[in-house]
Amino acid sequence: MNAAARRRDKGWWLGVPGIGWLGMFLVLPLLAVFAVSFLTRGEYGGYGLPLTIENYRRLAGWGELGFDPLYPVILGRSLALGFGTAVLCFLLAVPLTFFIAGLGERRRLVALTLVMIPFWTNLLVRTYAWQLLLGPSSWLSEAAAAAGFISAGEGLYPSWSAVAIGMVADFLPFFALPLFASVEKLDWTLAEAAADLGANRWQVFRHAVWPQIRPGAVTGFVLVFLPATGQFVIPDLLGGAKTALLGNAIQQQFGQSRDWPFGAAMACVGLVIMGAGLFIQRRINRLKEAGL
Amino acid sequence: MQQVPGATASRKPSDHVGAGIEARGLVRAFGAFRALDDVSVSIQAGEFFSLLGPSGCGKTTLLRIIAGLDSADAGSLSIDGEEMLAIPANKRPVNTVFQSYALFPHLTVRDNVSFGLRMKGLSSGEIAPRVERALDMVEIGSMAARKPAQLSGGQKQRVALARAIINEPRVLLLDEPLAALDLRLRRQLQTELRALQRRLGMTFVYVTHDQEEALAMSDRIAVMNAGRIVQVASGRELYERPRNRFVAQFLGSCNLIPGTVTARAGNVLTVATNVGPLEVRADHGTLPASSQVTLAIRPERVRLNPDVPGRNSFSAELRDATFTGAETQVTLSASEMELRAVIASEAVGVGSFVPGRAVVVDLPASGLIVLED
Amino acid sequence: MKRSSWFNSTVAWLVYAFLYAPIAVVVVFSFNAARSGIEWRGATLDWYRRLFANEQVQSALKVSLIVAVTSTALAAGLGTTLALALEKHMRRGREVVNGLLAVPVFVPDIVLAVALLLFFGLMREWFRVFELGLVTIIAGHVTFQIPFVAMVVRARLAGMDPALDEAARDLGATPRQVFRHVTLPLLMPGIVAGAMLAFTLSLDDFVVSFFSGGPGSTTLPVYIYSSVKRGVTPEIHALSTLLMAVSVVATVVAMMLQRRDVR
Repeated sequence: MNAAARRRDKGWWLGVPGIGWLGMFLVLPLLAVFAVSFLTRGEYGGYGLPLTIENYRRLAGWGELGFDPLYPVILGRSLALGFGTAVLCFLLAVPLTFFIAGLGERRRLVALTLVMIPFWTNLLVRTYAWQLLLGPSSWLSEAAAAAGFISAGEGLYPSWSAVAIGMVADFLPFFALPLFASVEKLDWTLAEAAADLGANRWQVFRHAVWPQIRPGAVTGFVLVFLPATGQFVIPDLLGGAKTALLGNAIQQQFGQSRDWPFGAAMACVGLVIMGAGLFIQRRINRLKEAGL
Repeated sequence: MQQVPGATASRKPSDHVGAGIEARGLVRAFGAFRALDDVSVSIQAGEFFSLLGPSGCGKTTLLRIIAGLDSADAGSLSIDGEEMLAIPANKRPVNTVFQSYALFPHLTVRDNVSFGLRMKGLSSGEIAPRVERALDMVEIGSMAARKPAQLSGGQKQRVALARAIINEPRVLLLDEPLAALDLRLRRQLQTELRALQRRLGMTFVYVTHDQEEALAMSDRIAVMNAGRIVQVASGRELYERPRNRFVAQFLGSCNLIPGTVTARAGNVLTVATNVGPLEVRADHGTLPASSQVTLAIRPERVRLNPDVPGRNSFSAELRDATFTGAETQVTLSASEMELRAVIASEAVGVGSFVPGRAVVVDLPASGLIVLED
Repeated sequence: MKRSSWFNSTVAWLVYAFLYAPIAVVVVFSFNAARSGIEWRGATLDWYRRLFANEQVQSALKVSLIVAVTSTALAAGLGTTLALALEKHMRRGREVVNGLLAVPVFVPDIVLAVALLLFFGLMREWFRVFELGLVTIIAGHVTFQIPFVAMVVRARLAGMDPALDEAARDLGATPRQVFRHVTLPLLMPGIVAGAMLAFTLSLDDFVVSFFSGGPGSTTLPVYIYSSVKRGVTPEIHALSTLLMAVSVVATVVAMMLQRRDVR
């Protein structure tokens, strides 16, 4: 590096406060989680030595009394919920973004902003609102009961469906925005050419449209799947006591159960999922840049 | 435009306040690419000096190094004898007019212009009259309270100029300042800039890729190509005695005739070419017999059907004659070579230049240039 | 695909209805004179009035505001300096710091919350600091606010014409003067936008506040959560409506600020 570049780099000390803060309040706490996950639960809810991998074994299913699938099932359920939410968001986001892309310049901005506004409001508020909308006396529930989906007097909430509805409602903007970035740039002439060559609607989508929007869809998928797997608030408010997912389970360990090391181990699993997802996304992006 | 603040009433171009610049062996490399490859040049105090060349030739890089906005990897630079390379941009007696104007968007014209003086710490009492005079000098006084977004390109240019000049730098650097303006405005500002420079006596270093612009404004021009200076001379000399093919073709158009030296008598060379032997005056001495040379002659020096055929006459076939107003451009063909001539239209009788006709061409020795390569 | 645009429009409208249904319900019922249930019994501002008399709400509001303002101020400073360091200097460490900034954004909020809880617990044991309370909540908020502020400010910096910096130096400004007279004024709308974004994030945060808070440091969202667990009341609707309004307004202002020109 020559003199000018070296001079320019001199200002790095500016970043020290910010990095220092993150080092102390982000890196250290995450390291603490990792460390504590290997400790043992103390008598009165504290924790300490000896070091053990018991917590991870429990998560994998080997509890004190032999194989107990409780936690692997919870983990599997959380992954399924994350995946399912992402898929549902995808199915709704595609027509939505196509619709917006078909609008004129100015209306497009309005339409996009309208998609974002709910995202800016408090998640807690929106989620408890779903309790009202899906409760036993709401007319959505009454309609569902009439159609036979649920028994009369019961509500759509609390249940898995309520959780799914709440999740999709919260995460849809996360998917719609990156997807829209791809949809906006769509070259329709490819679709027209495909149709011209005799492809039916599905084939046109699969061969001419999908490859172009795939990058946006992948980004959206990762942006939804990862946080959805670890969601706590929505399953807590809409799922009732019946649904147990990773987020609730972690909260439980730090709440009633007072088994911090075990909770830490779960949090680590959540971190690993996040890390794996980000890693995969970067690989896909790099492949995309290489033209594959 | 009015007088520069603080100047005596009549300033002759020779009473300069500008500084001389001396660059030696400047090198600027980006990895394997050399933007400047051992560049040396001397710029006289008080002259209007242009750096001329195609994009990527290094002229802007050289300018930025003089300004201190870019560093050199090797070489030295001094202004009025003072070594500059170790001095940061803000301490050099140099100001720059940027191609994109770089006016501060959040400041008014007045605050833009006074910026340099404010940074120096002058009091507002001292600053205000100087700002007024600078604004008047570039004739932009009525826009003083506006912001750059409200100005046209030409107006922004004037503000950028005032902002630089108000600091009374010894050297003013201009990086293609007129490139974004339309032709008419460009011509007008060229004249104004030239007059301004004369009046102020500042050294101007002007970067451009437009050879007409350089010829119109400069005392001397450095022609650059691929990171090197090819030739430094006045515009006239560059035009009439270009050193090589690049310079010959960069300034105006040129006919190129390859040949071999066959004889030498004093400083007159005889060169064998496809159109026969041509006699040329050689300024520089050491061209031995049988060396390959390229001869160049400008289209306007080519004589057609002269009353008295000269020593370099030959017959050619007229290919085309295009009337372009005051001039007529003629394309000729001789011995598989194409030549271009430009003659005054009034010398052409209507119907006399018909394609296919044979024409006598004379290439006067005074117009033939021997190129180094 | 254009032939199916009626399908796209229908789905799109349904999606908009779906997204706004919860918001609409809360807003509408905040004006409903009925105590509970979903029948409409006439419009009233009673519930809003009651909010101002409710001591718990007032105290939660105070806590939320103190936390939001303090954390925003800290995050604005830390995020801006970090953005400046990243954009203008630090050629070498950039990748690592970028990764560091991505973590609070992508990590599930509950993981961050329990990590902080653990950390504060350890700090308490070893150094007797970080009792759960205002300080710990603020610390947690700043941690996830910094990446957002840094991102907004960086975007603004990247959009600035580098020639302006050069022009300022050419005219004799020292680096400090360049910053004070050129960079900072042009950056200011971005900093304010980032701050407003951070403010909204803090005001709306639930999970981190829930885990990092102690007795006496209940924020508004935590208060809403405990109330909801007991049973939703119209006052909660009123409170929620106000909270949502503030968030939307702040975000809209932040967006408008970001659109101001930098050239």
